[in-house]
Amino acid sequence: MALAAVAACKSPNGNAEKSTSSNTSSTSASSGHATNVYFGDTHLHTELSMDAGAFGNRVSLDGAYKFAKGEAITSSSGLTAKLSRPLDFLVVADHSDGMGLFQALFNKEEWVMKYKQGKKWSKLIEEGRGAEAAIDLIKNFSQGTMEMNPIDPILMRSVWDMTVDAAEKYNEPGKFTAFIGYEWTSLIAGNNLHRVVIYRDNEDKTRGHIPYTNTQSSDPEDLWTNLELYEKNTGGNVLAIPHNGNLSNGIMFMETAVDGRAFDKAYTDRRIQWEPLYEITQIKGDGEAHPFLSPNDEFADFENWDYGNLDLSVAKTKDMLEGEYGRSALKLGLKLKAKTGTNPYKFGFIGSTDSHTSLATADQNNFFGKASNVEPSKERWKHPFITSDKASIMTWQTVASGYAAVWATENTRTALFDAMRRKETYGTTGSRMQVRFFGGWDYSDADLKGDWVKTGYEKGVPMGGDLSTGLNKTPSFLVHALMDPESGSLDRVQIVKGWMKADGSLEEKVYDVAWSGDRKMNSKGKVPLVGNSVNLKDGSWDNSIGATSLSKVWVDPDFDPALEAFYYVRVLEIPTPRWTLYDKLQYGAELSDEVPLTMTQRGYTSPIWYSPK
Amino acid sequence: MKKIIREPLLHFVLIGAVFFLLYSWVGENDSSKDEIVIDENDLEEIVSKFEMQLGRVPSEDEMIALVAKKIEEEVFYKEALKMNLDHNDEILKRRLAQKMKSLTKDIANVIEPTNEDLVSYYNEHSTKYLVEARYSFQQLFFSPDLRNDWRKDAELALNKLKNKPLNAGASTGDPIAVPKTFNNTTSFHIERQMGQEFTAALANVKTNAWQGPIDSGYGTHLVYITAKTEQQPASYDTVKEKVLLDYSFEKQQEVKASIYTEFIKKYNLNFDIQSPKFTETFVAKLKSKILQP
Repeated sequence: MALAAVAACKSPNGNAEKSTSSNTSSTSASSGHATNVYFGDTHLHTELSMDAGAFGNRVSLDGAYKFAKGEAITSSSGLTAKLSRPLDFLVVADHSDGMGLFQALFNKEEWVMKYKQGKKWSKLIEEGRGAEAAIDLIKNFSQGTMEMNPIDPILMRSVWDMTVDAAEKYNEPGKFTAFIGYEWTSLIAGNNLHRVVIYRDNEDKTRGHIPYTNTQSSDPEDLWTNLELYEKNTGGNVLAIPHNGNLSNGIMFMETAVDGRAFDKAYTDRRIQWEPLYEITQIKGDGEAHPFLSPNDEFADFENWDYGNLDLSVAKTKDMLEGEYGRSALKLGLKLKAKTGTNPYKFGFIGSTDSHTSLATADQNNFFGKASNVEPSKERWKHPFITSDKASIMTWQTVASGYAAVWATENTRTALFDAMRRKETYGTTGSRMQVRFFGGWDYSDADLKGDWVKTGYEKGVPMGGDLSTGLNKTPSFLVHALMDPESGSLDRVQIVKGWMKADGSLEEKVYDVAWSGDRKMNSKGKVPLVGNSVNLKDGSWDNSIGATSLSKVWVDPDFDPALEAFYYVRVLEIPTPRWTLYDKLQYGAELSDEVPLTMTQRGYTSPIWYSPK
Repeated sequence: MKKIIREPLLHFVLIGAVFFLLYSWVGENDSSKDEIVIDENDLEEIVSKFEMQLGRVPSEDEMIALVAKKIEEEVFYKEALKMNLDHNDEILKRRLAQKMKSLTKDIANVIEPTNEDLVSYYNEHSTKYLVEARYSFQQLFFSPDLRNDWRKDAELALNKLKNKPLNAGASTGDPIAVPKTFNNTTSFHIERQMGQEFTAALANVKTNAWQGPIDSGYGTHLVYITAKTEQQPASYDTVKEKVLLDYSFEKQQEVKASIYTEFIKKYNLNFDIQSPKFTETFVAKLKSKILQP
């Protein structure tokens, strides 16, 4: 009966969600290829993260999902919080360490029920006298008369159950994906090696696999062993995404393992197997490039955090920078491939917030800060974020960034995860610009006409892909960027190339390939700045200086078929207000002169790699 | 637990505690001993935890080391409690308060709503439960990138298309990487592609004729709507899962608040503020705000 009814609905005009058809000159429903870009956050903390709670986060998993889905909720500081546009997916990634709360006592878990107190409280709850149970529990806890150890890490199981349950509850295939995941919070002497772990699977596989903790090991290799074990035991799929190399003091991207041994093929194989993506931008700084490493890139100096490690216990020195940034790691990867046979840093890019407020927002005009103690207020900008005798980072330096953009066939766990695996992704600082990037051997200007997405897939590979057989041709790239209709228009599209010379030295170059207006490229190959139209008195700006969309077929003018190389796209918007300007205009924040008021939103695509082999 | 031990503040306190212990140990007389019992439940727990995380059972040596570690932890923990190191430790205080709050949430979850509860919640909040509007339409785009006065061009094009059928627009407008044709698409999906301004404007556009111009973040558009289903209330049966989610969420908030109200009844709250640093007006305001929330 039910089936018949469904079938009846699928008459000519039914099945609408995915059938925005395209007799247009530019979009494609080409068979099996990613048709839509989905925006989300792969890195959000709720009150269940111990540090988030300590900072005052009181918003539950439910609140986090409701907010991401576009509903209005009350933030921890009592403000009404709502996204201007819902997100398409979310990974609640609470810290696995300290994931131990009291709920287990009330889930009648066996290990609790074996105690008299456990039985008593569970009975009270059953009778609707939960508050009495709670009071009795508190009393016993404060008197030290608890029969069970209340801070035993096995409580983690119940919190994990909550995490899994909430993801199952809010996952809505086709409209909103709630991934099951967590954050493994590795710190080695204050150096950040954090990874977010994301599962492709549903509760049936993930529930039984308790998150791995830093307490067990701070060595990523041990995390990978745990991920291997998961896949082996369940037949499921999982990946890990590192973040904040900028707070690792050079140890995020090294040539040696944590235990000091030089990388060998076994290591490099495993690394890229488990870590196909890197979180390139987030609240604690943008991690694409650094001006010291890229002196010829005038846009490299962007929201960098280069003061020290995560707790600022050791100050940053210049020699550390190479091991910290996305671009330098991509280059280092070419060298390591020559050495070990596998490129361990052959990753794609995503951005995410790492917000600890349960609020997944990277919107400048709706920024709730890194943690609940710096939710919107007149004074928050000058609140110290981290401070030590080595340095201080102030709240105004936190970045309202970023989001993960994923090209997929549909909005489901499996489709999005598979796209992440093949790196058909890009990171943005919060803008929802749409960026396509294809690499091949035969693109020509004519391919920008008609159904260019279809042509893109047919004649080459999308972002995240590989070019290997040269056929004595020069690679060409088809790039297309469409502005976010709610954000700034586009200043320029750039292609960043990195390669390894025959002598083993690593090179990079940034090419301006498409830009707005009639600006002329100068003799050094650079296009002049687009200008800044932001009105600091009211926060408005003029989109007419930028472009709605930019596209180009670009042929590498410096191609050497003998050398390993990678290419990725960086899209820059025109300058628009930074969150600090909104704080000034909305709350009357009296900012000091050093605080920037505007910024250029950007997108970073996963690379396409060329290999002569 | 280990995580807590890693807190730098606690480190500091613990180092202090060690000195304190060494100092006081010299003069200490024999006192009655506390008991630490390791029973088979503890051992089983250690085994199952190990197994869960590493996928195998621990060896005997590993087991012995884990038990030793557990005892060491227990001893330090008990001694720390005796020394009242937990008192006024801000991290522990927050942590416990946080645990207590989570607990209250769980209590809320235990209360299963009846179907009647849900139906009346649905009736009270009917504006929240809607079937989205759907549109079938074509849009023609006029690009600021390609035209000096794209709005005027759109108006001129509209004059030509007035009273003409849908296919008359086939060769008008500029390319853009969003669909030209939308088929029975929800406003949610239109907004994902076209932005808020365009989608809001669409609601007021007449059907079965070329209309516009309407603006989006991209530029200006003409539209021809061939079919439109207005937004309408969703029947209870189609949204009952969502109603349950919303109902439980709201109850959770309520129970949280009411448990706090119950708890605070057990305390006499006194403000003892003498310092002239805080003005009388402020203190009066503080009292009134806190005592009558």
